[in-house]
Amino acid sequence: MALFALSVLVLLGFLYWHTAGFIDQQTDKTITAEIRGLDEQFRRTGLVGLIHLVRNRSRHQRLGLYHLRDKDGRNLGGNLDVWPPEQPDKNGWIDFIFNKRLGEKIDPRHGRARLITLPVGYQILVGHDIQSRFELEQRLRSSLVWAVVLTLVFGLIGGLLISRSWLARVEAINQTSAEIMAGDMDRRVPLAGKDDELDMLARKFNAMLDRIQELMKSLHQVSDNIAHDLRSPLNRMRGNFEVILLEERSSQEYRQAIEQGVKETDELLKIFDALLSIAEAESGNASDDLETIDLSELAGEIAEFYRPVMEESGFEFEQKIASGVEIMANPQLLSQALANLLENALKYSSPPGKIGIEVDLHEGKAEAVIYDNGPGIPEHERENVLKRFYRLDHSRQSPGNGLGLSLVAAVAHIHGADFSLLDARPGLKAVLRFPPL
Amino acid sequence: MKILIIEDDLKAADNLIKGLSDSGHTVAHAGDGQTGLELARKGDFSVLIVDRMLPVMDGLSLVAQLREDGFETPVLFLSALKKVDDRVKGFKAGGDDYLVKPYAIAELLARVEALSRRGAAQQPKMLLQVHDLQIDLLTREVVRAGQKIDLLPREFRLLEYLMHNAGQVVTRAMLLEHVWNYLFDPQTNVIDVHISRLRAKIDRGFEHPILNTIRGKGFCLCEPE
Repeated sequence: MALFALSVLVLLGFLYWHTAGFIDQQTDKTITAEIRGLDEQFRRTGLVGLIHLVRNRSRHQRLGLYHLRDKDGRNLGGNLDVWPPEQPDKNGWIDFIFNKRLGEKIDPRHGRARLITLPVGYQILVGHDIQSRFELEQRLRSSLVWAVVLTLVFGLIGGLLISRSWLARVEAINQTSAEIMAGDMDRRVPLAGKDDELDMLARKFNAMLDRIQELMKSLHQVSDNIAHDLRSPLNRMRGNFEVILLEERSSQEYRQAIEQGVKETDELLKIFDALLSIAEAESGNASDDLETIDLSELAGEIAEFYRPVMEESGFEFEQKIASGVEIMANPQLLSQALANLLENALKYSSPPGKIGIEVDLHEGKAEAVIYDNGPGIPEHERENVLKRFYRLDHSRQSPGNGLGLSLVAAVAHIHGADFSLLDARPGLKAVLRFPPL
Repeated sequence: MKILIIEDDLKAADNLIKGLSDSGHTVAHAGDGQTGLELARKGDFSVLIVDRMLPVMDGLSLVAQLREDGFETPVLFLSALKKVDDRVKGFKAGGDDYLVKPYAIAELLARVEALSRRGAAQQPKMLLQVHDLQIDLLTREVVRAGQKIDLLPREFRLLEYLMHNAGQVVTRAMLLEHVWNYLFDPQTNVIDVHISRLRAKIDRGFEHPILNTIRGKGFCLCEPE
């Protein structure tokens, strides 16, 4: 506010100084020009000519003011009756007030003149009636003062109104936050529909809330699923042990039961491990660990790692990896994601099909593709299979925990990569498309 | 061998002590970092098993202190922290191996064995030999009973790791970690296929097989009985 007032003052002050200064200059120039004319006349025709000219001009010039006097102060001519009592400055300029007779009325007016002393001791005052200029300046001053006052008043009121409406909107955000904190996750900040900064903020805020709600929902679903999916194997284990304990068994039987139990706990631990990896990847913390890596090399290594098992299983394993494709990645997590995709291909398609891995650049974006000729995933299920523990009907019999693709999706997420499941006609084509470096 | 366990979770420690004693080791236990450090300085242990999170003095500082004092006893870190970053911290502090909880006792035993051997082998050897199989780490030549064997680079690294740990069980996780540098757990028998391919090259056609599968544990490259 202070800054606003100051700038208004500076601006108007400059305007006044500039305008008034300009008019002053014009007056002085005119007077100076006239003096030059009189001086010329004096030199050419002497005092007589000068007096003549002064008298002549006094009669015809509307705004010009003249007064010529001799050494003793006697008025020798000119339309300015009284010699002004004001003292001239060092350049001879005098600002004075004189009386102008208009018929009966006497009108006090402002004048400005310059005093010239002639060689013979005579003095001449050449000036101008600056009453109108004076009035203009006065009007200018007062209107500028008004401008300042009005600007400040309106600025103040306007600013107050604006800040009050902003405050009201900030308060709305505040209110919404409070309601959300109180547990109503469905609340959203109302938009003013103005598309200004506050609306942008509100929109971001709402988008953030959407994302949080989405995460909470998936978390909720996950804990539901975990509870459900971990209960059945635990129940099974418990049943096995219970049956073994029903009567006296041979140590061989105890041994088998315990071995079975260890195997099943291992499976459970694997599920927890996978869940933790997914959670870690999804929380996005791991994105701090991204480093520039050679995707071609990483994919080549994982391909070589899996080639023997693919070939032993009777698949035709194809590998088409363009060299030198670099991305930002967490190599351990990315290796695991590619491994999951290759293992899925191995698990869900049957020999003698093809399984392939490709790395290439498409429009500046690095792509890793893994495909098979298996049954693929029906289009309406492609979203679902990314959910934790979700398994297609036909895959329920095969080993696995329904977490493999969830992990791939989470790993894609921290890499800022798109993960899409497509039709390989026939089979599944999994594509990871990375952002450009 | 003499092993010191520094672990504050008493149930886990009990289990560990039992597992190690049953395998014929002498075990000492400390429940916090400070006691652990003092014991480690006094006793003549072959391997230290150190939990990362300990009361009084955490595992990382403990090992860093030991290393600073000039002790070179091999250290196996146990930790619930599984991120690559956490492992790197463990190695930087002076740990020699890093096992993420929960682990199988068989896995821990194999790693402890491997660590104790590493401590014993002072001079890095360029020529490794098991029975009549010889590999030259410099020329990367593999010879069995005078017969030259061609291996792919990765097969060579696999064999090299097995030779370094000859006579002891090497788990699948150890192979994954050291030969392929992978920390995940494959759901398929991919390691077994690599082993069987290597076995086809170094064992097939020879009288005594030396690359053995130890059921439920891992693999062992050992002298034939």
